[in-house]
Order: sequence, then structure tokens, then C-alpha cells
Amino acid sequence: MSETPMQNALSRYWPWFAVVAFGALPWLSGDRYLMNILITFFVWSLIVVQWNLVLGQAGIFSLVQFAIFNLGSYFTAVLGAHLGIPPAVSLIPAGLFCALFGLLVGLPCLRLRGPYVALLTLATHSVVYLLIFADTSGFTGGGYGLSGFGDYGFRDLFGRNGQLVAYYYMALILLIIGCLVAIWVMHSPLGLAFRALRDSEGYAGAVGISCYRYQLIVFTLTSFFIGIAGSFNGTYLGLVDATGFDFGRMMLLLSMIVVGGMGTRWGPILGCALLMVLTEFMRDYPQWGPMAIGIAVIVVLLLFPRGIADGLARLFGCSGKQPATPAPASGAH
Amino acid sequence: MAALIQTIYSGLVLGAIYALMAVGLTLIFGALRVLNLAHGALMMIGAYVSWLIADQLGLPTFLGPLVSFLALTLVGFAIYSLLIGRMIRQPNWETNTFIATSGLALALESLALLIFGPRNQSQPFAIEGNFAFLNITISYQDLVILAVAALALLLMERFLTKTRPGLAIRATAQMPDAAQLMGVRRDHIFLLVLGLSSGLAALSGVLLSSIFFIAPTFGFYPMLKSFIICIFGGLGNIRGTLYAAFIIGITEALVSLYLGVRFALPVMFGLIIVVLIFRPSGLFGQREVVRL
Repeated sequence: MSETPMQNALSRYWPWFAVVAFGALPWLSGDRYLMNILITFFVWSLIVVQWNLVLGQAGIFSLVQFAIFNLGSYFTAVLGAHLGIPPAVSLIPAGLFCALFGLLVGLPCLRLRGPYVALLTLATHSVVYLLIFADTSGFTGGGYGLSGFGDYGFRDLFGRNGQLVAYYYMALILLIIGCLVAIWVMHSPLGLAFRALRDSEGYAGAVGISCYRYQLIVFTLTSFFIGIAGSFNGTYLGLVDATGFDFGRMMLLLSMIVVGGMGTRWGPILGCALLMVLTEFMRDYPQWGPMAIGIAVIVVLLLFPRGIADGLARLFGCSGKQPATPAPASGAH
Repeated sequence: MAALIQTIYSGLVLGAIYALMAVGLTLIFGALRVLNLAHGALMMIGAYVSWLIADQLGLPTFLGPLVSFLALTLVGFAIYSLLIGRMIRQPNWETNTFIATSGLALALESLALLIFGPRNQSQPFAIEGNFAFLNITISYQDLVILAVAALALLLMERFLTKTRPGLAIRATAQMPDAAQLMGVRRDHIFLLVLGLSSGLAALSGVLLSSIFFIAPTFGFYPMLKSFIICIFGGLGNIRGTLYAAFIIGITEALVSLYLGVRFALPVMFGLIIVVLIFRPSGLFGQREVVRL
């Protein structure tokens, strides 16, 4: 297919065009509703981009990432509420704490295969949730949650209207960093190792590629960024409570990845955008919302088993290269 | 001492219900390698069907579980032919079936919320009253539960070991390709398994709701427990799942007695994590031989 230089530049640099567009947006429209929606979109995109590395690149069908996201929020909230440590200080430590947690969960979980990983990580999610929810000591706030644990001080710096814009840019920057890291991982020796493991696990093992070790590295690395996303989100909302562990929301995030295209570079963000638009659209009909999302997910998966990104590429006949097929989630055949 | 015996006894009753739930899940996984996240929603629908029959239509109560079993078997057929059957062997089917069945659960739960409302209903398939036996209180409903569960499990055991379709299911679970070469129609077997599993889900939903209540989302935690039981017993291993159901049921009752109800789930999850670290294929699961 011959492309004009213009098309070529567009297809190559469009992520940067998107960044510029999102960066310019607060100057064009200061609509608070739009800003808030986009901040949520950035946060969720950051989670799904990182989670996608675990699912699609490393081939670990792990469900614990959403609990890690919440732990990031709780880390910042607990430090702020009990020790008065401002969230700006605890942002990076929250990431480190979550990386450590990810490592500890990964150590036993990644030794297992296929569905056992999914179920064990789901169990871990539920344990974290139930322990926090049932906590009556006040440490985590239990069912009431924690609030008033401080913020980044954007209000003093930029005023009431500038505060939201500051959160917006911070979320955007975090997302850009998250995406760059994700792309770097896909092209680094880590990504190559996973491609080798996917193509032939036995052969990759024979030349000394340790599946367990590389999976553990990705698990820990992504936990760091997901923890940061959690810490930011908790501070931005000003409230951290156990409803954050909602199973439906976890499945929604997971659906975003799968609907968009697991293992693809931009699919998860596309899926995130689509399902968020649907969620917002259904906001006026709350009782129909979950059903609409459930059915939409099923229909998309029936039509495009590899996700929307791949489906669109096929529809428009520009599937130049084979999209990265994620490793089968299960080792069982 | 009496408290301990009473607890173990109620653990046995719970275990019987869990066995019904978990066997359905493990059947599907054994034959199709699919984790069915709609299982809890199917339990919930099953419980509502029984409630509709006996409470709303005023038909005899014993028809409740029966009709519920048959109706959900049909629902299971529909789920296979419309959803899972179309995904299986497609790219990413393992992930896609997981996500799609959870989407189905979401849709079914919100449908139930729309139709039946958020108010808890009580299951009419229940007998009041109890009697004391050797210092433990035994309610008639517990006996009904044990009887129904035992009957269902025995019938299924007979079905799987003595009939041709049952043998075909087990053959497919053991070695799909070989079974197919012996003339087993894989699609038919998968359809049958989904129907049977959904029927068992309905039955367990009726039994569970008879000691708790019916609500649109009441199936989620029982389903999570069934998954724990399945991995405890080794996914796809029916006998192991049965043992595990009773172990988990009794453990849950004991933990609830000595530590409090709110620790029942965390302790069980902790237990399963420890078990899986030392036995990665479950307590009774056989390690799958992986050939390069």
C-alpha cells in the first residue's frame, strides 16, 4: 500500500498528535464535567496499559492488579490520615509499596499455570478487600473509608479552577510515562523474551530464558505504575473506601483490555475510551447500564475475538502486520 | 463440645450445597477448559425460578427445584449455542470466554434486579421446624438439603460412570482428540455439559437460598467459594472437588465459630494460597504432564 508522506506521518506520530490535542484541551474548554471524565479516563488508561503488559505481553492471567490499584490509594490515604504525610510525598513510596506487594503476590502465583493463576489472584483480590472492609480498628477506615488525608496543594498554587487543570495535566503526564514504559517493555529484551516464550516455551527455556523470572519482573514493574495510578486517583477523589474494590468495576477494566485488544499497543486505551463512552451514555439509565455493558462486551468478543483494534484493522484492510497474539491464558491444552 | 459437633454438622450441610455448585463448575472446566463466571448468576436465576413456581404461581413446592433444574438446563444449552460454543477454538478463547461469561453474569444480575427488584425474597422450598438429636439441633430443611444434594450427586455419579453420554463426557475431559476419534461429537458433549452444569447450579441455588435468601447478586460469593473448592480439589477433578467441598464447608463453619463470620472468607483464601504454593494443582489434582 502506498502512502503519502502525510498519511505516513499521521500513522506514525498520531500518538503525539493525540498528546498535543489533549494537552491543548484545557485552553479550549474548561468544562469541569469533561475535565473530570478525562482525568478518570487517563487514570483507567494507565491501569489498563500496564495491566495489558501483564496479560497480553507476559501472558499472566492475573486479576490482582485492580486490588494493587486500590492498595496504592490506601497507602497514600493511611499515611496522610494517620501520620500527616502529604500525598505528594507518598506518591512514589505508594508505587514502591505496590511493587513490593506485587512481588510478594507474584512469587507464589507465577509458579502456577493458567486458570489457577486467575483464580488465585482473584482470591487475593477478595482477601485484600474483605480484610479492609472488615477492619474495625479505624486504620483503613473499614466500610467508611478514609477522607481528608490531604492533597497535592494544587488549590493554593493554581486557584480553584486551576486545581482541576493541574490534576488533568498530572494524570496526562502519568499516562504518557506509563505508555512510554509499556512500549519500552514491549521492545526491550523483556518483550523479546516474552515473544520467544510465546512462540516456543520449550525452545526459549532451552536457550536460558526463564519464564518465571521475566514474568516476575513485569509483574513488579507494572505494580509500581498501577500503585502510582492508585495513589493519584485516591488523592484526586479525596476519598478512599472499600467500594473501590467493586468486582464489577474490575471486570469493566478487564473488559476494556480484552475488548480493545489484549497484547496490542493501543487496543486497551481504545477499549477504555469505548467502554467509558458507553458508561457515560448509560448514566441516565442506571438500571440498564450494567446490562448494556455486559451485552456490548459479549457482542464485541463474538465479532472480534482479538479485540476491536484488530477488528478495525481487518475491516479497513490495512492489517499490514500481524498483531501480537497474546499467549494463551491457560497452560492447559 | 456440643457447639463443636453442631458446627461440624452445619459445615456438612454447607458442604453438600457447595459440592453441588462446585461439581457443576469443575465439570465445565474439565470438559471445555472454560471458567464459567456466570455460574453464580445461574444459581441466582435458578433460585428465582423456584420462587416463581412455588410462591408466585402457587404450584406445589417440590416442583420448584425440578422446574428450576430443567429450565436452567435449557438456559445452559442456550449459553453454549449462543455464546461459549461460538467462542471456543476462536483466537483468545480462554480469555474471551472468561470475560464474556462475566459480562453475561453482569447482564443477568441487572436483569434480575429489574424484574424482581432489590428486596430479598425467601425461598418457599423450605420446611419449618427442627428436632434435637444427641444434643445437636437438626432442622428438617437441613435433612431436605442433604437428601436432595445426595440424590443429585448420586444420580450424576451414575450418569457419568454408567451411561454412554456420561462416559463420553469423561472421555472428552480426559483426552478430547482421542474421544473425537472414537466418534464422540464434541459439540454435543459440550452442550450437554453446559446444560448439566447449569441445572446443578440452579439446584444449588434453590438449596442455598432456602437457608439464606434470594437476591439478584446473592450468587457471587458462593461462586467464589466454589472456585476455591475447585482449585482446592484440582480443577476438573470431580472426586477431589467433592472432598474439597466438605473440607471447605466444615472449615468455614469452624472459622465462623471460633474467629467470627467476617474471617471465614479471608481464612479460606489464605488456606488456598498456602495449599497452592505446595501443591500447584490442588490437593487432589494430578500434576499435568507438560511435554515440550
